[in-house]
Amino acid sequence: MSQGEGTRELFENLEGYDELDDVDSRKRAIRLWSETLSEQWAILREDKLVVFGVVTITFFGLVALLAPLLAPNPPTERMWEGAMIMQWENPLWYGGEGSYLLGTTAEGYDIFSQLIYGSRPALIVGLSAAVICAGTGTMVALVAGYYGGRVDDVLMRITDVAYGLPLLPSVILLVAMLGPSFLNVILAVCLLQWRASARVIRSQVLSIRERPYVQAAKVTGASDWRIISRHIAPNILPLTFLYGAFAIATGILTEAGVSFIGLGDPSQVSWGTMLQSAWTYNAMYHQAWWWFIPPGICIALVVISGFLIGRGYEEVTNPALRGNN
Amino acid sequence: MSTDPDPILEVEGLNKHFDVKSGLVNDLRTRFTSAEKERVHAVDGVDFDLYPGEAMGIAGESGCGKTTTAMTLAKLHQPTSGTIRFRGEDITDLDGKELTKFRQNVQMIFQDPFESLNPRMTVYDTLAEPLQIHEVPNKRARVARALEFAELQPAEQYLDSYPHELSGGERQRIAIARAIVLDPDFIIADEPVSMLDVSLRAGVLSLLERMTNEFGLSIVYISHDLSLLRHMCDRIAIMYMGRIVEIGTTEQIIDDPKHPYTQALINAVPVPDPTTGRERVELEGEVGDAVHVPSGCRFRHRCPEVIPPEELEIDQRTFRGAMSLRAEVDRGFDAEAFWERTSGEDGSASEEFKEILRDEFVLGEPSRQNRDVLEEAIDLLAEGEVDRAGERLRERFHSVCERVDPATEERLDVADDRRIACHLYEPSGGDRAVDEPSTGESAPADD
Repeated sequence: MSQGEGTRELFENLEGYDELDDVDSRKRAIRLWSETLSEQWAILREDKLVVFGVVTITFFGLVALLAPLLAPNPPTERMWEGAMIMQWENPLWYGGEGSYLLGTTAEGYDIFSQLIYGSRPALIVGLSAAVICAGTGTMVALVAGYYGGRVDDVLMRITDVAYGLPLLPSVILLVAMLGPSFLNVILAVCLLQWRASARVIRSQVLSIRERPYVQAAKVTGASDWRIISRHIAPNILPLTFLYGAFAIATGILTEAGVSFIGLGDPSQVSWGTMLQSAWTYNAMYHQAWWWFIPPGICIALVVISGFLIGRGYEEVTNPALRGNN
Repeated sequence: MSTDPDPILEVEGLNKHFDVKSGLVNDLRTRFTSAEKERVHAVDGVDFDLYPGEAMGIAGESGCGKTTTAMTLAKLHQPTSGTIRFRGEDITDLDGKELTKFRQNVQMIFQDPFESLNPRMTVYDTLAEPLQIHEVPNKRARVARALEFAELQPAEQYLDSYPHELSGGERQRIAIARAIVLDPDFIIADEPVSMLDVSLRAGVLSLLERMTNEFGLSIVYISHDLSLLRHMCDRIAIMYMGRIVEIGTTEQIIDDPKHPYTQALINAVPVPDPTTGRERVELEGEVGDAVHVPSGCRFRHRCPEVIPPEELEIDQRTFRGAMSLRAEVDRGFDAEAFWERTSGEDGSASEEFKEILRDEFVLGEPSRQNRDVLEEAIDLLAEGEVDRAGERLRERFHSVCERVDPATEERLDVADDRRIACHLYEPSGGDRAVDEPSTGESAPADD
C-alpha cells in the first residue's frame, strides 16, 4: 500500500475553492424551515379530520379571545333581581321571554354568554396542561434515558410514584388543599399528567441513544447537549406532540370534572361549572336540554380536536405512516 | 509491515467486560450477598498494532467481540482494562476536552446506512456537524470536497437532501464522506458493505480502498466476510470469544491458516470452483458462553484438534466426545434432561438412557480400553453417581488445551511476524511454562 510522502492531502487548496461559507447559513436555515413547515402543512391539509380539528380549535380560540364582544351579557350577572326563583327562562326560539339565545339558568344567568366565557378556562387549562405536561415529561425522559444509571433510576422511581396516584381523586385533594383556584387546577393536572409522556418517551430515548447515528455523533466528539438537542430530541418530537394532544384532552376533562363536583374557581365560569349548576337544579329532569347539552358538546368538540391534531401530526413526523395514503 | 517506523495505534491487553445485570435492586443484592457479579467477557485480552496506511481486518463469527473491539477503539466504550496508544500517546483514559481533541483523528463507518444517518438532518448538516464541533473553518468547501471524494456529484445537489430521499448506496457514501470530512488518521469500518446490495458493494469498496491508497489513511475493517477482508486488507486478525486467536498478513492467514479455528473459517468460505479439493472442517456447536468462559483454550469445546495426553492412544473424534461428556459432567450433569428423552419413568429405562448418552458422546471408533472407560462412566451416570463418573473420566481423558490458556504469541515453528494462540505450535519465547502432566519418569540419579 502506498503511504508516507507519496500520499495526497484530501483537503489541500481549499481557499480557492469556494468562499461561500457561513455567510448564507442563516438564510439557508430559514429556507429549510419554511420548506419543512409548508411541506408539513400540505400534508396536514390532506387529512380532512385534521382540518376539522384545526378549524374547531381556532374557532374556540377566537371565541375565547373575543368573548367580551361576542357575549350579549356578562356571564355572572343575574338577569333579574329579587328572590331566587326555581324557574328559568326558556330560549327565545322556544317560547321564552326576553332575548336570551339559550335562555337563562335557574340562578338567572344568560346561558349563551356563559357558554362563550366558558371557552376561556377550557382552552387555558388545555393548552397550558399540554405544554407543561409534554414539556416536563420530555425533559425527564431525555435526561433519564440519555444518562441512564442512577439518574434514570431516581427519575423513573419518581415517575412510578406519580403513576401510583389516581388522577381525579388526587386533583380533588390538591385543589381542596390549595384552594379552589384556576391555577391550582392546572398545577394539579400537570403534577400528575407528565408521567405518561415521561415513561413512554424515555423508552424511545433509550432506543434512539443506541442508534448508529448517535454513536457516529459521539465518535465525532459531539457533546451530550448536542446529542440530546440535535440527534435525540428532534426524533422524539412526534411523541411529545402526541402526548401534548392527549394532555389537552385530559386537562379539559379534568377541569370540567373538578368544576362539576364544585371545586372549580367560583369566580370563573367554565363549561364544567355550567354542567354542575344544571345538575344541581335538575335541568335534566325538567328537560331543559339547552342548558346542559351545549357545554357538553363544546367539551367534546375541543377534546376531539386535540386528538385529531395529534394524530395528524404523527403522520407528518413519521414518513412511514404517510406511505399508506 | 514490521518495517514501518511507528505504529499509529498500539493496543495492549484490551479488555471490555459488561455486567450481565444491572439496576438498583441487583446492585444492592450483589453488594449485600457478596455474590460475584456475572460479566460478559466481550473482549478479553486483545493486542495488536496498526501501522500508518495499513488496512487491517478483524474477522470472526458474530458474538466474538469484534464489534465491541471496534467500539472500544473508537472510545465509544471505556475499556475495562488494557491500554490503547495513539501515536505513542496513551488515550485509554482520556476524557473531556482531550478526548474531543483525540476524536478528530478517529472516525467510524457503521454497518447500516439506514440507521447511521440522522433522519432529521440534511446531508449538509450531517457533514458539517463534525466541522462545527471541532471549529474547522471553510465548512462548505470541505463538505463539498468530501462529497466529491465519495463520488456524490454534483455536491450541491445532495446538500439539502434528507436521508430518506437517498438510496442505500448513496447513504453509505455519505457516511464515508462524514468519516473523512475531518481528515482523520484512521477509520474503523464495521461491516461497511454487508447491508448493501451486492451490485453496490464494489463501488463502495473501491472508494474505501482509495482512502488508504491515495490518502494514507489507516483503516480497521470489522467483518465476518473473509473474502472481503482478503481483498481489502494487508493483515487479518481472527477473533474467537474475545481473543485474537491468530494474526498475520493476509496471505499467511488465507493461504496457510494455522489455528484450527482459522482453518475452519477459511474452509467455510465458498470457492468458485467446486471441484477444487479442499478438506472441509466443520465446526460443531455454537460460540461458547462468554459469561462462564472455559478454562484453558476457549476454542477447545469445538476444536477438531484437541491435544490428547501423550500416553493416550485415541482418535480425535472419540477424544472430543469423551471431553464433551466430561464437560457435561463437570457442569453438574443435568440427568433430568436425558431421562426426559427416554420413554419410561425415572430409572426404569436405564438401558435407553445409556443408549442416548452413547449416541451423543461415544463417537468415532474408540479402542477397547477407551470404550470401557466411557461405558463405565455412563453406567455410573445411569446410577446417579455423577462424581465418580467424573473422576473416572478425568483420570483418562484430559488435555493441555483445558489446563493452559494459549497466549497469542509468535510461534517457533511458524513463519515470522505471525501470532497464533494454540498449543499445537510452540511459543518462540520458550519461557512459557507449559504445564505438562508429569512424565512419570523420575529424574535420573546422576552421581
